Amino acid sequence: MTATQKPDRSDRSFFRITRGQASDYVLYAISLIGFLAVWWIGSIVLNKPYLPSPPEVLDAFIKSFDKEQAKAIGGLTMGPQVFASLQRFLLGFGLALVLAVPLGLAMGYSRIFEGLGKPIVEVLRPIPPIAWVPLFFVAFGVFLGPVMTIFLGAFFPILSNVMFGVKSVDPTLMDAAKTLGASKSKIFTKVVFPYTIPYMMTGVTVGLGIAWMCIVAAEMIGARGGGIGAIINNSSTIGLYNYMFAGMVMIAILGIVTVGISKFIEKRVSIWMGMK
Amino acid sequence: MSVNGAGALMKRSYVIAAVLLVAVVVIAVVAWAMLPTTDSSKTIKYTKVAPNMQADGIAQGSIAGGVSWEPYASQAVLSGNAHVLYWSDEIWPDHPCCVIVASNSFLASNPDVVKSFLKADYLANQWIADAIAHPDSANYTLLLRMGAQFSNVNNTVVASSLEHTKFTADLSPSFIDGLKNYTNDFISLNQVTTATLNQRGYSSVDDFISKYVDDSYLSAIDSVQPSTSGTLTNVNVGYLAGDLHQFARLVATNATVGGGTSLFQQYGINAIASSAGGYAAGPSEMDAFATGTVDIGYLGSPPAILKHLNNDIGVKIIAGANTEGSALVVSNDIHSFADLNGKVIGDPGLGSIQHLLLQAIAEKNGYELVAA
Repeated sequence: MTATQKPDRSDRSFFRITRGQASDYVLYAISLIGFLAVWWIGSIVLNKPYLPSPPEVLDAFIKSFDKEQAKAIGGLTMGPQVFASLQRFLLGFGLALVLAVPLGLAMGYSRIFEGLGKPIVEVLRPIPPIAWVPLFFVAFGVFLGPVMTIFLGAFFPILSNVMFGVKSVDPTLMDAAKTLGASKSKIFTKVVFPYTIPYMMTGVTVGLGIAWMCIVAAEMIGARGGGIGAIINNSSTIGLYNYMFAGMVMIAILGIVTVGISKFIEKRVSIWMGMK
Repeated sequence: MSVNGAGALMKRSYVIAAVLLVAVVVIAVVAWAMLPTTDSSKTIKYTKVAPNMQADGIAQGSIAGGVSWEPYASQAVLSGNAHVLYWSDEIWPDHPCCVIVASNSFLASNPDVVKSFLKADYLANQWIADAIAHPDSANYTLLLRMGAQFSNVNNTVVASSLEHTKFTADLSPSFIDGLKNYTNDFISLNQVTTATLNQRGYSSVDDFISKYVDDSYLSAIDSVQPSTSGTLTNVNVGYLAGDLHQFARLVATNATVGGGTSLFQQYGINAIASSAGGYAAGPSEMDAFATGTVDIGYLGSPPAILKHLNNDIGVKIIAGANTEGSALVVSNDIHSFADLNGKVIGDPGLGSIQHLLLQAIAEKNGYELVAA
């Protein structure tokens, strides 16, 4: 399929479950049930407070939404903490997206930008975002500190992928555009940028996973305004591990949802772009 | 892909980008709007701030006040930026504070070492009492110097701390009652359930405290004599960073106090700090007990109770360390508790005596304590 062809709007293959997919889902179900069974048996065999059983965690998960019950973990009710984490997450991730995409495009397209930016990126990229947390708390305060950690966690995967996307542009497309008399800016906006979108989406998916790791770590270290990391920290401090696991379950849910949304968008974009 | 095709894709990508942007903005706005607004008319907020950082926090305005152990309450006051709104004894007269806790395995295998340890601790408390009673003596000067070095404060701060802390190993009936009160506080906060209490083999709070506090070692110290063998037994000792409630440990490890040999050494003990610089708070010291890193430790009684019950950590309270000695210190522009309305107070964290104290002060004044 070429890009000039109109995508088949009647194609519902994304939503249709094929036989192969059905068997995949059966395997997924077996995997999850097996995981829960091992966890449950492990909690019975070990019989230690630090490994509560799945029903105990479910009970704490439900209780954590109740203001009275959540007094146990310092009044950190789950609902507001999810919003607190999401707030930081969206701000940090949004900032990373807004800055990493143009910078990645510039560094991928221009030798000068690449030469100037690459050494800095290569120096900073290996440093775990978590290592910046104490500094960010001091420099940006208790709210923006965690936001900046998320920003850093998501920034580099998006930047690298966009850069890679620009460098992967098929030279024949560029030549064709040049032959048709397209200016440099036209080539950039009409060829290079659209070409990098699938790569950008891959960067977004990777960045999302890292961003969740960053936010929880930052909140555990000491964000003001709560957050799911604060629930985990409070619960472990006083030894209520069932609540600690409830917080971990919530992060898993949010991580799956956000990565799921991103993968959905990535897939749709790939279909529209004629990549699939 | 032709240029026209790329152009069409470009338009679609604009649509995707616009949809994504709108979605992000909508979610952010909804998230912001749905954040609960607490009743600011009767709310005090808490946040975790290490005691030694509270004076700076108050001075910089990041917190309106702090609840800390000594010497950091006195340090904040003497810095000139803060004053005491409540001493802990105004809320709970003569309340128990820090205790000495020992691991069950160490108690079982080294009962005589434990008695010797408590004897040295007891003598250290006597030495402290004598030094305080003679403020012109060299011992008092030494006491101030020891405290100042340990807590990284000046002598004036240590002297003030000594006025507000009572050092005693006694497990008096009022001390025991105070421990029961803390346990009941935890139950009312849902931080400990009666089911957990029963699970650990205790039928009630009274039953729990009667079994968890073991005064048999302390009762036996009268007959303990200094070691004559010359061999020292290693004891991994836990303590909290800079906490002068645990002054007896400091005194018992000081060679000058014992005339060249420390009190611990005189009683055959080589006290090894299980954590360089001490633990940041009681819960982390209890976790160290759980991993077998600590044999005997000084820590606040509330975390000793909470973590034993919730995490089934095999320890016992074998002696007291001090009563009183904590305070709610507030910025100079705060004149009454009502001025703290909606403001943020630092404390060492959940499970600490200081957090329970802040909870009690808030309740006494009809305020709700919420997370900042």
